[in-house]
Amino acid sequence: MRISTTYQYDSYTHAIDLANQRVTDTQQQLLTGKRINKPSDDPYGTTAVIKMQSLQAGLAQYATNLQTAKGTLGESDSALGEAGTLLNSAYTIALSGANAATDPSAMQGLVAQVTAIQSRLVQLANTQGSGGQYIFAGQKNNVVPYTAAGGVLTFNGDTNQIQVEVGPNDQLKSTTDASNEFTTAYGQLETLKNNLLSGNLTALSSVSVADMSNSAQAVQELRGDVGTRLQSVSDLTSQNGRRTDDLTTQISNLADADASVAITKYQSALTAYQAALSVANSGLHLSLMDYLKI
Amino acid sequence: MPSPFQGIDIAASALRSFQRALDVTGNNIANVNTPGYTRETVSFAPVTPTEFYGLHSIQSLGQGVGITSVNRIQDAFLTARKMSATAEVGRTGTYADNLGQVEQVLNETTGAGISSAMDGFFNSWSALAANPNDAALQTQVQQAGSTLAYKIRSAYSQLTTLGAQQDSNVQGTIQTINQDAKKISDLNNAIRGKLAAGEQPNDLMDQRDAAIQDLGKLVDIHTYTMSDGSVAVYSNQLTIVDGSGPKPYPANYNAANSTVTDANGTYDVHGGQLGGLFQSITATKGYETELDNLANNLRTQVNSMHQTGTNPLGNTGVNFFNDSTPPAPQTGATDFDLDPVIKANAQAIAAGISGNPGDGNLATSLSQLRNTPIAALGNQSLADYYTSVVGQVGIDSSNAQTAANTQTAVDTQIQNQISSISGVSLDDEMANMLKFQRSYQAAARALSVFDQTTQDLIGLIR
Repeated sequence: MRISTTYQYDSYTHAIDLANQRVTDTQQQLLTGKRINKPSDDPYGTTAVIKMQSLQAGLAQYATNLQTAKGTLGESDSALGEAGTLLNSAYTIALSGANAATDPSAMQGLVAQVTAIQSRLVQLANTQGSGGQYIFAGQKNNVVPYTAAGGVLTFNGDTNQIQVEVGPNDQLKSTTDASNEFTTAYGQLETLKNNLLSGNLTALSSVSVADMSNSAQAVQELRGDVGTRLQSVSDLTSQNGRRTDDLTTQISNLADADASVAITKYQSALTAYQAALSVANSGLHLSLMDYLKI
Repeated sequence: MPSPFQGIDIAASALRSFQRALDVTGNNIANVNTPGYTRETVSFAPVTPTEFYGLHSIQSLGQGVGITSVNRIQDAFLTARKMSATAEVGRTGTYADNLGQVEQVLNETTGAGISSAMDGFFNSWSALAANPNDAALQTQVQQAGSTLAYKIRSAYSQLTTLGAQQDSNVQGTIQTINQDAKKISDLNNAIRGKLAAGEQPNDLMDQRDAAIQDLGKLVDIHTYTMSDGSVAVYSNQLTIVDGSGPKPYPANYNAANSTVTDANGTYDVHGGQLGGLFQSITATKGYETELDNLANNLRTQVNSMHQTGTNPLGNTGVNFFNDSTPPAPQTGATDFDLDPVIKANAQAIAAGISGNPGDGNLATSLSQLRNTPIAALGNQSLADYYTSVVGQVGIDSSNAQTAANTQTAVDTQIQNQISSISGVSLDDEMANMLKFQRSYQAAARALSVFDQTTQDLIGLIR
């Protein structure tokens, strides 16, 4: 093939340009640390990365939701725990009251204790969460849910609970329906109080002792339910964390430049560039003119 | 009978011819860097011999040398191949550049695009569901919705701007086509005139070739050289230049069909920058339609759910995204925004259906919309639909870049072949220069010998 001068120069500059381009590209990967800088760099990789980033964003929200649920469940747990303790002491009071040896003045003391338990129980039933919401009110959580009047505790709340999204199509109740347990326990405490006042030992031993035992039991069971959900929250949180870490690794594998590969590519591009420059340097100096004496 | 001065004439013809040949060589060297220059060579031929009476018969005696032509060294087949390669480079390069710009608009690799705004939007509902009566979370939903609408709107408006730019580039390209056609036609006239006068207008032919190459970048063309030396240029069925002059290029176009139309008919455009622009306009319109689809489906889905809710103000049937005349017509992405009521007051956002402050069921449903397949989007979820659009842009752009690189390589290869045949080699020219210089020196020596003999003859008379 006949080589024209323009072709000769063009091919040198073209080779140098290409080599320089490769050096710049590999440099870019090293500088940004990213293998995918725009969708066309790897279309399939890009869509996979977007989907994983989206999953990760969802997981981050679920983690926040789990945190919220953990707060509410924790508050419910301690409230129910205290209520259980109160009802256990009421059980002890019922036992003491049923004992014929208890003298009337001691009976008065027991009545005062039951009254205190009742008022504390109402306080617990009206526990407010960190946002001021009533955690045992169901979905009507912005008004005081339990009011005591005439020895009866009335529930004004809602039995629908707040559901927290903890995964795709996966929800968890963050609040607990304790309306039955609280109102029943309150009524039974009222009965206990009346039996103590009237000194009805038969009723105390046959009804109230069993009542208090049952109430304490019911609250304990409810607390167990809350505990189970707290355990799920903790399980889900750690699952969530592992999944997030997995996704971070996968995204990094797809989108980030492998440093050792990038450096090797950069070195080889640099060598090719130097070779192109050196060939051009020696080739450009060759001309018939140097050998002619005109 | 030859004249006694015949030898001087012969030597003079040689001196003249070699001088011209040296000039041509010099001109080649001078144009070594001129783009589109075709190297020239000189064709020598003996001057018609004169006759003289030999001893027994009539003999002929050469009368020296003359130049019959100065030739452009060119391969017409390569020139034609170069033309179609140039048109493909123009088309694929333009298309790849434009898709590169679309990619910038929809670049999701930075993590600040529509995709992450959509995640933020669904997450804000999920957060609201966990704390339905938290006013701060309502504001967060309002903000996230507004950001999502803004991202979609702004991507759409950037695509529209890009489309308008492409439209105005089409106008510019058509103008340039007309200018090139006029230039080719003017050169045709000049070349025709020179040829008729028996001249060989090599420089004008180079200029015309360059103008045809320029035109070939803009639109796919083929040429036909007529007997009078002028060149007719056609693009598919459409005449751009013929013997009578340039024809105005049709100004009406249909990018989707890749055709141009004038009073006489409709013509295909297959390549060149114009073909690439038509492809780009069609592609940009396609991506706009996909954003419209996304916006309309977000509207329909979110609004139909949100309307069932009761907000803390006690209102029901409130739209979340603006939609004045549901169900149709919807206006797509161009004015996609929050409903004015929601925009004015975050309290208008409903988290539940019952109206109870702790009811977050609706918010949960809206958060779950992120994974819900939607029939109108081919049973893809909203996020998946958009992701597939981004993937498609990436694939289209990547393919266009590959095609552009391939075509450039093909074009370079043909250019190298043309350069091999038509390009100036300084080594060749140096060798030629030496050859013609030596020939000139010899002719000059011959002249001086003839001069001497003539002088001797004249001396006899004295």
